[in-house]
Amino acid sequence: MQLTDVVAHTPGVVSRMVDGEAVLVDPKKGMVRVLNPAGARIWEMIDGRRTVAELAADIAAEYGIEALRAQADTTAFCEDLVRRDVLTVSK
Amino acid sequence: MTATSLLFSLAGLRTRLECSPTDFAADVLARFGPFIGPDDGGLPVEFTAQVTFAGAQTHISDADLQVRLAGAKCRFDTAAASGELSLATRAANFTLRSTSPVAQMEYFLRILYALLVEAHGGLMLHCAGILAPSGVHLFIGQSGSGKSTAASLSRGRGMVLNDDLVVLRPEQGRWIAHGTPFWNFETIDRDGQIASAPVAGIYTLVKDRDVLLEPLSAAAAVAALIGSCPVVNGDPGRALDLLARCRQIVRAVPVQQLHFRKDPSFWDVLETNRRLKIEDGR
Repeated sequence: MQLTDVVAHTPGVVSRMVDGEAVLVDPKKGMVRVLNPAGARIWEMIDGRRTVAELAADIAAEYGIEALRAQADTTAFCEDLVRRDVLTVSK
Repeated sequence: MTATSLLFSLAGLRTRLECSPTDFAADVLARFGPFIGPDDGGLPVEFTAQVTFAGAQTHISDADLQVRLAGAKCRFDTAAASGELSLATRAANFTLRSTSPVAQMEYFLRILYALLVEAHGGLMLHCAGILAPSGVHLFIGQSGSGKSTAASLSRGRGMVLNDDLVVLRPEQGRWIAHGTPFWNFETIDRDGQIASAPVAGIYTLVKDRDVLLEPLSAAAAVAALIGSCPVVNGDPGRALDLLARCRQIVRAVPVQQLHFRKDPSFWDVLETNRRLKIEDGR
């Protein structure tokens, strides 16, 4: 995954915030996942138009963390959710 | 072919089953007897199903029905069983051709009531339910997680409503658990299957050497419940409502993770936990 990639919620995945965490459901695949508060925040910010770099920049600002660390964490998070078919990526 | 009319009631929801031929109707009555009652003008009939056994065709396998769910309609479509149910018209037609028609009838009723209960604000849960003096304790989890084991270890501690499927319905601000006739183990005493009572707690199960209760986040509890709602959790059109309903349940009923071993000691932990909550005013 590159920082210039754009990520989007996979069609068919439904979500709800519950006490700061996110519950993700894909009924056709029988998938249910819980994202912790940091992951839930990234999930909320993903709108199918923003790049991984833009998401990381917002996370860095919101949580007061170093830009490089935010980029690494956000990239790893997105890669994991793409592997699990919860996010799609466009180059 | 003359149909025999049977009134099947589960969790306060009544279905008229028009079964033919007569000996098939007799087999259905024998299997589901405690849930079949007279036409006494009591509960309204919510649904009517025409079910015909067209004769056992032995070359057809008894594989599980293929079910296609779309909104208010559900289609069953295999050589062993075919038909359609519609929540909009509150009617179904179902033809059975397998060598185990009563087992196929049970499968149809499981699906029908999962949908009917959901349409009436409740949920059918894949869980074991045990009625203790403190209320009904529900043990949720996938196959092999220990639900039937927890039920079989509860002799003397409570009455088993079911070891596989329990219906939850809201009633005056509480969630009421109802037993069902849809069992997993043959050997568990079935006296509790017609019982119902308020839910005292819901537990996900972990097989362990130690016996303890661990808290679950509300999100993890919602996720566990969604994973335990057969039929409805496979329909994309129901997903948002299902999330909301599971959130409602988690707000009203404590959901925790229970580590247990293969003996009844987990009941001591549940009862101590319950006593502490009462002392704390929770």
